[in-house]
Amino acid sequence: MTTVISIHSFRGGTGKSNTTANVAARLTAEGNRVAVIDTDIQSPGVHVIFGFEDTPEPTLNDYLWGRSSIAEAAHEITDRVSMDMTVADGGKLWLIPSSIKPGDIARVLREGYDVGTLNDGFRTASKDLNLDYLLIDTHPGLNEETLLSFTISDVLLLLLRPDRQDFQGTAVTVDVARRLDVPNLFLVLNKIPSNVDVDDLREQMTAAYGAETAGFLPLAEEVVENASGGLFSLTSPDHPWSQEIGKIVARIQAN
Amino acid sequence: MSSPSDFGASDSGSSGFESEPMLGVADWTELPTDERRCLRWMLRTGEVTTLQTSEELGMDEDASRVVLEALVARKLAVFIDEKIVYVGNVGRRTARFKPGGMWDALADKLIDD
Repeated sequence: MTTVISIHSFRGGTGKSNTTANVAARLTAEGNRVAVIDTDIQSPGVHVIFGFEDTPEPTLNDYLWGRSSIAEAAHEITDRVSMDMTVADGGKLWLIPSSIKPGDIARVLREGYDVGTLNDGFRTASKDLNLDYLLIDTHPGLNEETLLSFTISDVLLLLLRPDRQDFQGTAVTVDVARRLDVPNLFLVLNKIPSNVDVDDLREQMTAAYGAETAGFLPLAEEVVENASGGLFSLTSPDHPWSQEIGKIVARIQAN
Repeated sequence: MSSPSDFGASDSGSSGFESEPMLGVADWTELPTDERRCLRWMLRTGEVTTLQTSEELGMDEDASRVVLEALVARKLAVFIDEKIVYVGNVGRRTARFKPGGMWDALADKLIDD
């Protein structure tokens, strides 16, 4: 059975796509069959972290409009991991991108789409690609596709920054996730300034949300300088940011 | 939360009969626990039998059939035959471009380009 992982945040700019791509890459390197699906149809971006200027075609949009199968929209990109890290036997990675073409984004926003078709795509991709993990990179905030992805997820990673707006919005999201019976909800704090006491932060998070924090990603100039220009945790595996990605992966696998 | 029977056909009074109201994804949070649990499992599984549902929910077949029939009444599932159920119409992501014709015009231009 595929483990479905949704990566979400209430607000934008929390590092969802970067975390998704790096977690997916590390799971792949450990010999798992992994797919990343970009459901951030309004503002897709995870393809950039995997090294694509434009989204490879066909895309998730083509699948939703009946122009292609979900398998055709799944592009094998294992080489994006193996160029920087040894991939254990059996490890494979696919990307199901959302289109970056303005016309395609406009069409989805104007016409909408059948949420059931998206769910059929999740299910079919999991089965046809024989996936160990399906990672769903979501659009920030709460909408139809994020609620669907919560509902079908085994694991929900909720990203937030140490910021009052993020704290408040995350409380709302945690409440919705609990109402939808998400079995494993983990928080991931990103962009933590170096002068913040992580142990104190961990206690605050547990008290505020009653949920475990799986990773404390530091605010790191090197990650900012990387500017989505590749998989940082593979190219700099000893960096504290990458070490925290490793902890998140270990926590997911411990389930 | 309304009971399944509340979702009957309604007369809009202006354009004849409208179709029965659909539950949106956001409404799933308000479903009774057994129905929500069953729906979640069906979304992951797809086509299921009444016997599998009974096993999944830990209920006898009569009790699990009540849950399935409630989901069918809410149009979230459909009976393919007496024993097999498929997760049905789970809603539509509504269009986002609303204000006047401005956004439609822009979308037309972007799509044409």
